[in-house]
Amino acid sequence: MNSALMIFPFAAEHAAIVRYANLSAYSVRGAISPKAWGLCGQDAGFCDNGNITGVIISDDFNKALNQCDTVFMDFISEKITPGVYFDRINESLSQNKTIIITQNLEEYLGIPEDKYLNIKVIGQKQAGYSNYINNSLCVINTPIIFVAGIGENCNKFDIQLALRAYFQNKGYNILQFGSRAYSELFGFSQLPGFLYERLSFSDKALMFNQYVSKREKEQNPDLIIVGIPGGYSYMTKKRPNGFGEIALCISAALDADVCILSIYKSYGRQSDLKEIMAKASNKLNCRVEFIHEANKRLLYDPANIEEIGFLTVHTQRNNLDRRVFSVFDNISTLYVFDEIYNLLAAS
Amino acid sequence: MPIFKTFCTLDGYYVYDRNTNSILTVDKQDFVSLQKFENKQTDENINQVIQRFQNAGYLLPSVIKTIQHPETRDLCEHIQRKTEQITLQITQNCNLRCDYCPYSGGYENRSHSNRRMSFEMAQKCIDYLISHSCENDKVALGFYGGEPLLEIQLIKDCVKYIQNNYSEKDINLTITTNGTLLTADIMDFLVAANFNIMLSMDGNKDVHDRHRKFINGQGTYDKVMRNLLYIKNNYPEYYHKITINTVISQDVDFKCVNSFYNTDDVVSCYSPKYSIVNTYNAKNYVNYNESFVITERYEHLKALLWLAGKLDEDRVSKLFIIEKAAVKRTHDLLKSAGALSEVCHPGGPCLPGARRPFVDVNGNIYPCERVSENSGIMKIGTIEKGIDIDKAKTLLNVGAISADVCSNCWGLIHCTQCAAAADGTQKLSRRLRLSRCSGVLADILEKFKIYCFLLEQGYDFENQGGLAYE
Ligand code: SF4
Repeated sequence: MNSALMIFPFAAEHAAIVRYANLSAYSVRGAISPKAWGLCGQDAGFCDNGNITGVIISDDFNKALNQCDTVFMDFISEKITPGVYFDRINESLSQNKTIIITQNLEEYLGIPEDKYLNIKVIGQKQAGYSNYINNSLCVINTPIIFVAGIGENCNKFDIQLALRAYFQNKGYNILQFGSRAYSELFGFSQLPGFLYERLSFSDKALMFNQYVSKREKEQNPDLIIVGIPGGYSYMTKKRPNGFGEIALCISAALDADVCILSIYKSYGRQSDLKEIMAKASNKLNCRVEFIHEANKRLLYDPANIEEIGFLTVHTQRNNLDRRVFSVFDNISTLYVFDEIYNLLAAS
Repeated sequence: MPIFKTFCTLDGYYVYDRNTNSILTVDKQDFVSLQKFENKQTDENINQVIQRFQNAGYLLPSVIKTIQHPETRDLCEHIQRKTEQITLQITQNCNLRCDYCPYSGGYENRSHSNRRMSFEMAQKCIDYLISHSCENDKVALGFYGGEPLLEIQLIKDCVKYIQNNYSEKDINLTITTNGTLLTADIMDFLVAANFNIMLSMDGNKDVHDRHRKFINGQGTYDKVMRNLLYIKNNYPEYYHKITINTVISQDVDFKCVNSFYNTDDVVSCYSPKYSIVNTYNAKNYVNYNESFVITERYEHLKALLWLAGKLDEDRVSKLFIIEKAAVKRTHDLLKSAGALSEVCHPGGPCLPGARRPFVDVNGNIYPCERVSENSGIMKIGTIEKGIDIDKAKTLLNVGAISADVCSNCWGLIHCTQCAAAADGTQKLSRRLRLSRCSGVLADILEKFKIYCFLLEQGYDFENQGGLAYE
């Protein structure tokens, strides 16, 4: 039986954990959020404008604690002080709950060593893989799917989970690298830490290539799915997106067979889409054939052009263009995933 | 037909192309031809000139097919998730009777009364703000009146309620006050809660007391200045954070106001936000005399010369320092708005219900505090029932009432008219809206000329660099 999980503090980005809990060893019983974040009383599905999940967001930590076996804690903002976290951790420990925290939270809290025994830290960026064997790229024979995005906050993690669900159903053995710290909750690891370190571009690309090759040999998968964090290129002065460096490293290290690019929702023209696909294909060194339309819109303030915000909107596809889908819309998603499946099967 | 506007500065000839939202430098000959075209005069070169621009992607026929605000589709989401600020009318009472106040009888609006907001209603408003802003890290809560400090206990209760319930959100507290009630106790509280104070001060004693009077007719200058001096002496850091609002009325000597802010020890650290008397919903015509206009333009020119690096900042009126922000806004709007699309809307409207809703003492919601509370169309919802999205969409799409004219107007992108300018109380008034167009277009043209003048002088808009005075 799945372990009952509660999430603290629950923020919009955790909606994916609730939505795809069936892929994990957990079922979500509590989504606990400070009242100040304005989500209490809403279904977790409100956060992404997707279908109702049945999990109602609340601020009652103790009630949720009684109903769960495992407490998952994440770092969202300094508005929740370490003191509040420690209180919650102590309450959970006193009730013998399993505690899982992300590495970001561990860093924020600086948890004393003696407490580690009962706390599992996930999403540790493995910094260790520093020696690569030689200066050449290994050949990777397993088909690879990239899930890339135009920036932060465009549902890449939802797409990774939806792909995992789809191909697991088809019986695939999947080697997957996720763009989020809590990928591990779903049985796959986060991208290795060296990608985020101050190393040269070629070092990182070679290391990642050889790291994936090693994992491929160990696991002998049918499919590799790589979630590429952040955006694939520069966006604005205030959001340079790391100039897309990690995306470029990953695409230099691996040849993707299929690339899904997630873009922000816009009410633009078809010709703009072609332009975006061409530009992304060029940057990511592969043909971007499928576009995901995120449930987020980018908001520009015309009177202050560096200020960018996001707005969650509805993304029901009418499927006029069958290369474009929304992960919150089953019909368009299934259509595109079937296409991908056929493409991979044919090659 | 292409839609454009020609204009010139002392040193250059320009054309603003609406389709691309770009200002192009042109030579004198082309300028003359294009100007003739605008004035519907014949010119033998015009086809050739326009063709040349069109080959380069400019002066192409208008692309607009429908006047509809691009945010119409998502207005509901904006309101539900990204409400930025709520302003609470915590009382309709005021201890002053300023002639130009919208509530003193000179406007189609409510008048002063003893009605106040209950704490229960204020709580609901705060809860509403929180539940409608889950995608904003920061929000603002404004206390407004009447004079809000008449209800200091209610304000204190609200702050306590926020601290007890919503400490995990950045809530920027603001208060708009006439400054007469800023006692030591109240200041201790406002400073501790980190309020942003917006204080009204119109100028020196003579100017200020002309309109800003207690109910008994006595001027308020001495009281406000005493309070400001107290703040200066006791909260020196906080003192600098106060924003001063100055209303310049028709009958004041602009020069006096200027010299007051430039020389008075208590206020000389401020660059006040100045405005003229509100003309919307005014019962009588508001008219400024020639001497006012001349002084205003002279001071404006000095501010531009400062930005152009030709005048020392010391010589610039404090009231015009904000010109720096204004030219940056023009720059950003020219840069960001990009090309027009087939479905678009004139500039001007904010997002009614999401940007800065104003809630009266009874819980009725209006788009902002500046609209008439007597207007049926401006009442867009209640705190209990939420916003009537259709009403909000009507205000957002105020351009629909003049779609035929706006579609062909060169100033469309830079237009500044929101629904308040067309408030016919029972419905939006096309007549009112169009009656303001000539003034709006003149302002836009002025902004373009300033922009080009500063470009000619080498002004760095990106880094907002006032050029160094040499
Ligand atoms: S100035 Fe008048 S005609 Fe032009 S866009 Fe504004 S409202 Fe429409």
